Amino acid sequence: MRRLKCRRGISEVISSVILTAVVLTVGGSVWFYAQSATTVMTNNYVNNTLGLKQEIIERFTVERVFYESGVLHIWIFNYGFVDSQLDIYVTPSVGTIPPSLNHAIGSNNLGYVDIATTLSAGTTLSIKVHSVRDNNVYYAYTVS
Amino acid sequence: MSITRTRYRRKRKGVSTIMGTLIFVGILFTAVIPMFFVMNQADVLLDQSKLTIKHTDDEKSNEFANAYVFPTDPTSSAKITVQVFNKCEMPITIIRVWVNNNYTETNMKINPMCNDKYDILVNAQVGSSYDVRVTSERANTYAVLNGILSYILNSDGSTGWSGENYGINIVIPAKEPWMPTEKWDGPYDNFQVTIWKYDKVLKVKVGLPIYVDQKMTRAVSASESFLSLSEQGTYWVEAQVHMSQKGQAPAKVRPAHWHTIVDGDYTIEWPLGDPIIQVTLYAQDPSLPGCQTPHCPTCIAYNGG
Repeated sequence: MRRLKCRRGISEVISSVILTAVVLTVGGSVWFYAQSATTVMTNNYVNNTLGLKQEIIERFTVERVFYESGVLHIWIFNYGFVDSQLDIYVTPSVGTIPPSLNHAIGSNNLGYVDIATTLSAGTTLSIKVHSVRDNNVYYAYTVS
Repeated sequence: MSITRTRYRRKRKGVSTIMGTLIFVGILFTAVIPMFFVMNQADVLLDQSKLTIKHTDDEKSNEFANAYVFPTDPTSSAKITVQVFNKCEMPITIIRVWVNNNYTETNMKINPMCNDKYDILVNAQVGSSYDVRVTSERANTYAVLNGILSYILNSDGSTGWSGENYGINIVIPAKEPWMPTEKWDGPYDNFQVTIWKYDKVLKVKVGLPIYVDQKMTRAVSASESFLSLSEQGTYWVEAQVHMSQKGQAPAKVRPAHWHTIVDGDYTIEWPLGDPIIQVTLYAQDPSLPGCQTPHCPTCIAYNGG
């Protein structure tokens, strides 16, 4: 009887320990889940925003075009704040020219693309420069 | 016994609530609020970029320059000179000079309303021609206004340089202070320009006018009109502004008339001078006592001259 009297509060202690452990486990899990979820959401949002930012600050222009000895030379000036990956589509008034893809031009650099093709004088070319960030620049050139 | 247990339970009743609150506050401060901070920071970066690129685009569209090309020494085929005039309010940096299909990297910094020259070694041969243009740091490309420069064989067997375009650029400046008191026709001020070829020795206008009564209007600010000419030489330029009637009968009346403001000869002597010359129409104040315009009898009669 006396021994039982001594152990009278043990179940209370054990139960409170268990309760605390459960609360900490469940709470920790919720905490961990919330932090993972917000990290993923934040990363997605930041990546999308930074991608949009890169798209906005990308600038390039067709600076010079000339046709000489069976080669069409296209000079592109990247005057934006980011490097660009460009595809060039040339549509002549007569015939077709295959696109020239994946040309990297660094920020503040002048790059050129040479396209071997046969063009007659007076042919008008519509040149479209398309970046992987979905920016487009157009240029018209008439072969002299 | 039962009283003790109840008191004990009552003592522990708030522990889970406190822990739950602590966890909630912990999640709020370690996950949600940082997320909003980082998202907001990304938005700020995006807005900053938008602003920066808007400034870049605005500067690019506001940039304006005129470029000309001429032989460095008219008697030598060695070099050509590109001259760039900055015509805008911002400094311009020319980073490339294109001659035909080749370019030279440069770093010409030109302050507003100033100009700079750049010499290029070409060692021209007879029959060669030079299509010159310049590119600015803001990615604007300016072709030279006087066209393609050629090195040719003249009819007398000598060789020399030849330009493509000559012209007279008529400039009407912004309103002069006295003008609001003068009544002009129409919502804008109307001007007309006539150009003849002029024989400077005989002092006579040669043949029919090349441009007859070319109409120009002055908008809110200064206006320009470029009149192309096929060859260099001396030209007579007459420019007039239309003035409406002043005064009512029986008082003194000045009838509506074309008031002459420029009446003189101008010579294009390229390559020693500019291939394109500028004529600015500074209208004289017709209300001044004794109109000083000798070619305007109407104003002279009205002013009692």
